[in-house]
Amino acid sequence: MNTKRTEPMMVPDPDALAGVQLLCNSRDPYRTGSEHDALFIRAMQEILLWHQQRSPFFAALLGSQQIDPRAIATIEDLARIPTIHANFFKTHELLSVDRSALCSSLTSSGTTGQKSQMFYDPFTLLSGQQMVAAIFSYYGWDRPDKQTNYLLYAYEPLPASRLGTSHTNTFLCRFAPAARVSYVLRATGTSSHEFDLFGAIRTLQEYADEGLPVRIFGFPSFLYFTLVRMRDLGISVTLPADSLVFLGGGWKGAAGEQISKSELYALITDRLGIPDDRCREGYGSVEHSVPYVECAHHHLHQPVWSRVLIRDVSSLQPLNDGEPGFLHFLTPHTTSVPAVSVLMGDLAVLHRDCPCGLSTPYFEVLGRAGVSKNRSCAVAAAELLQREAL
Amino acid sequence: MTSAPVLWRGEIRDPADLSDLLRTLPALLAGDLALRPDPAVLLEAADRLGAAILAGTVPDLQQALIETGLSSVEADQTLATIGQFLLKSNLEQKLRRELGSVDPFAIRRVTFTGPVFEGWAPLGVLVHLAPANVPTVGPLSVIEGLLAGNINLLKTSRKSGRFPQLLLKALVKADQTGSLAPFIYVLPISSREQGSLHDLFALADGIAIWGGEETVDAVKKQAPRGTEMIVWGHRISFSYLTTAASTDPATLRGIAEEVCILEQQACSSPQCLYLETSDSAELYDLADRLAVVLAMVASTVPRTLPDRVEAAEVTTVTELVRLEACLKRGAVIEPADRSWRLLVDPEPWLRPSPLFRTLWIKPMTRDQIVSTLRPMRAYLQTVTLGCTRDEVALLSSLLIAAGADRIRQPGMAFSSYPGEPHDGLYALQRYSRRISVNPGSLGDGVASFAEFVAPSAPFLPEGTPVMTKDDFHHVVVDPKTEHLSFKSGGSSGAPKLSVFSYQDYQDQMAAAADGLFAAGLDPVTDRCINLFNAGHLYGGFISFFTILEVLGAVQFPMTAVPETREVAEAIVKYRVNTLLGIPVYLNALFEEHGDLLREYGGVKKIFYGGEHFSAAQAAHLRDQFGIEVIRSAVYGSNDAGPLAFACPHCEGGVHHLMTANQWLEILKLESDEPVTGDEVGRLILTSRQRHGQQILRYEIGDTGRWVQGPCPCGRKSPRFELMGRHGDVFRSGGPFLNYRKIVHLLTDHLTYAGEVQLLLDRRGGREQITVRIDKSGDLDAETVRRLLIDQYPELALSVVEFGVTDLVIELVSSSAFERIPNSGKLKTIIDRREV
Repeated sequence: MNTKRTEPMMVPDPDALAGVQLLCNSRDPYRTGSEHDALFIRAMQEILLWHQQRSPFFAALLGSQQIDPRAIATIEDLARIPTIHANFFKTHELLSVDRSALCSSLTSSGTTGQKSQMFYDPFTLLSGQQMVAAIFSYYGWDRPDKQTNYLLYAYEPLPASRLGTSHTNTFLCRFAPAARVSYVLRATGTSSHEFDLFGAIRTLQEYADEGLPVRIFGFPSFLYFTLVRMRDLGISVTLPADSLVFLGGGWKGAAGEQISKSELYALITDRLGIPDDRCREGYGSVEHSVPYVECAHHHLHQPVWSRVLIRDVSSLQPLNDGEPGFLHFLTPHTTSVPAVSVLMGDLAVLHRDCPCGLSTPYFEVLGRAGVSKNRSCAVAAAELLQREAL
Repeated sequence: MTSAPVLWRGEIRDPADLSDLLRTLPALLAGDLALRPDPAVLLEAADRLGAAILAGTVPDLQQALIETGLSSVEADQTLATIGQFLLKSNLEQKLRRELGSVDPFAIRRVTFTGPVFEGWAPLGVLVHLAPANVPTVGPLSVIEGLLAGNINLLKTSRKSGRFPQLLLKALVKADQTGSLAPFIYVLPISSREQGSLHDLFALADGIAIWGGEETVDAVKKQAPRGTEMIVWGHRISFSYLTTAASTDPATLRGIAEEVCILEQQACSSPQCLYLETSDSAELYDLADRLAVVLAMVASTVPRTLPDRVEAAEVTTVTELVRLEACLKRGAVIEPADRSWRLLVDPEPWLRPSPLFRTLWIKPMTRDQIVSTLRPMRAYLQTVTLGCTRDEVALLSSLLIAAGADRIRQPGMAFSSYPGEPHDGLYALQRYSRRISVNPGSLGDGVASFAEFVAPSAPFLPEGTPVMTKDDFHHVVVDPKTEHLSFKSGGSSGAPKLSVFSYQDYQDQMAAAADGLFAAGLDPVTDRCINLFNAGHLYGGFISFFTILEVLGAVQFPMTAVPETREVAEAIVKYRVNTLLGIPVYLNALFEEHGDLLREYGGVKKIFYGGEHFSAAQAAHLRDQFGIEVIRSAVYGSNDAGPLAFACPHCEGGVHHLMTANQWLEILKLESDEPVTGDEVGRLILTSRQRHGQQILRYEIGDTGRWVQGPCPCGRKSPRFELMGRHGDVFRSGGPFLNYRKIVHLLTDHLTYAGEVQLLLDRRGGREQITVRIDKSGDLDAETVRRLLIDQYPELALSVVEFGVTDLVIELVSSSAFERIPNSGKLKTIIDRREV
């Protein structure tokens, strides 16, 4: 286990958040057991109190449902913690620390054009990165010995970029020394980016010639478009077997062309020669920065730093495994804003018993929950028929 | 579910053949685009189908709707509304409101003072893209496309069932002329079959899209440039109440009902309730009041539950407001069963509701209306407005300025009427082109290009009997169309009425105006005096009043007043050059004031109606007064309205049928067989559009014969020559005799210009015909008698050969002629033999 580049970060208040500190120090990402559950509960109590005392909003929220943080004593009690919808953070500054304590604010590239702002203190930001490091390490992707070529399906950084996704992808290049780093979404020099499809193909061909392991990170959609064009042109390359594809960020504006993960991975294997178990996807969001990374069976497992619940789309009651509902994340690691219990905009279903051997549950994302275009056209019929007063 | 069939040019085909069929489509459409759509055919077929649907006699339709997920009750309700929609009265009103006429494709003069013609034309080939989940939208959009005359290609998805095919096939079947079929296609093509869709779009002149913006964008990318896009997108509606209105229980109840009905799925369903206030306390009070009403109403309207994604949307939005409430910026009112919710938000900007009985409650003062709603302008539709009478105009204009298309009272958001504009536009106009033609002097005398198109017969069911006057008077008239009543018949029996709707009247007067224009009345030059009889329920005067108004002609509305001196002086004083009236009155006028009128010399045109103008009388006026045109203004009757007109090539009793409104058959005198060649027969009229007393194969009581060959004027409407009242035809001890024949003999051989009256008597088994003539004509009885016996063989047969009839000539003064009271018309035959 390699930790030398990821020294433990200190929580803002070591007395009040000792449990949080301990939990975030954990380097075994998929550990389970009652001892760990107890630590998680303790950390949650601490963070609830932390925000209750610092955020009038959060105090009001807990008050509105008569929740006393000290009464959250078991894993089952976690379900009683009020949720905050991820979208709420997009329109509100809900700081629990002094503004001077912030080190970063990230804007996520929202699919609907809204930009989501999140505020991070050093602990929240760096402990999140440490979680990624721990998972990379767990899967053996931390290879300081291996010169690696990077192809990033991400926005080429501008001098003052605040986009969270680029930040993440740059960060991911730290786990193997970079020979070359190429961006596919190139900066145009006029505050915008352009998808450089042929540049991506050429880079892949060059990487194949160079023979170093290749790491491809970023948006699946643009990689897909690259592969389709390669297929149309009859181009394929064979990248080293220890290459890695690690995708995230969704299909953005190309949702209509989205294909299944298995189809995409098969296309990657077909065109780039990277085996299926080296094709992974991650799931994360700026409102909840705990990373969820696919196992070799392409399942997004819950790590030690969070708990995943699925909630009924109407009653918000917790559901059993296998029942679809809102994806709900709980984590004690966010000290800057009260993003402790975040209701995500995705619908998902929870499963267990993955053949990969991990005993934590994993979730399957079913799609967006809050897309405001569900208007049916019963409408049209109603208006076409000259309906008398009903 | 049965796999969706193809409806191809009105016929059901195997979906397996679709790709082969599609290859033949370009050539088929290229040919069919030359076909002329006939709205009357469509209206008849739709009416028949609508009635059949309402009677529940169209098989499989209910089942097809159930297959798409409707309950049987919903299916029946849907069919009932479709049945109503299809009724002729509905579609006719839609055509009139949206395209101005039931024959919108006629290229007509927009003014009678210049050769400018306009009309509607179909776009051509119209592709309809309807949502897969609502099976009724597609076929109804097709019916609108048909009303606008287009060839319609409805793309359905293979999943959307067979309802559109069945409904439109039933429409084709209900069309007994078979001419609708080439205008109707239903093509189950999946949206994934991009190649087929691309080919389809390439053939489209217009694409009607029902759906969201993503669908529209995708179609726009695929369709050729220049293709007309008719987008029926999603709209948003809301309610606006003044604080005073917000306490009215009926208003709150209306809003509550509109929130519950249809789960707010209709574009006209309110998604937001604005209160005219800037005081958030008033907002919360209103929410509390409405919550009480909503709780009561919600339980009375059956729910349709949202699916998972829809429910998630509702929860998401509601949760966000709950979180705002923690910041004291809003509130959620929701019952424990979550069957409805009010979301109070102190910010005025318009937010779409996640629907399913979710209503935003927001404040907006009237000075904020325009600026606040500006960003949503393109999406606004209905505003249910609650305010006082003196606020309606101001608030409506502000809401309309903000982009709203439709203002209703709370509780009336869904009320609608045939021909209502849809999203600020008339649907039929969007499926049409407005075309303009200026033929210069080629258009002289022409009111409509339809005059040069061969007319088609109206559909008459096999074996429709000839309608007698008695049948006519027993036609049941819908009280809703009983607008104008004229005295019917006249000479025989007790007084009866002939009933027209105002629409009938307007249509018929418009046709008569076209006819009078063809006859030579020119509104640019002619100053007209209307001398027809008025009063006593006669239609003559007011009809011509309307006709001249339609033509835009100068008119002096005099009526046939007995003070002929005053009339003659008015003609001179007001420089009248055109007279309109009945011959007996006009002749009397010239007779009595000949000097005055001769000296004036300005009368150039006479248009007469009601009676025949004898050739001798006409010649006399031409000769003595310099009249240039003496022509029938119209041939018509109080029962059937205007029937025919005389173009400048029509002499005497020759007329063109007014084919826009009327249809004529001529049947033999003694049997209901059509005449052959130019044989004289009975005129049998059918009115194409009449809402009052419907006339089907009505025996009007006149005789006539077809005039063969094309008219030199070029009009395609059939010509016929009036041969006199059917009552003119009589028998007296031998063959059929005709009053007119006797008149013509006197005019032609003895230049007699006076009146002629026949009296029929039976004395001791012998018949007697008394021919009464005006003694001022200077004829002697024996000359007349000899002429008639010599020149009228059938009469000679009875009088001389058979010797059963006595022929008596009676010379009398003009006051001795018996006349019909009120109209003053001459009784031509007085049959005293009747018991």
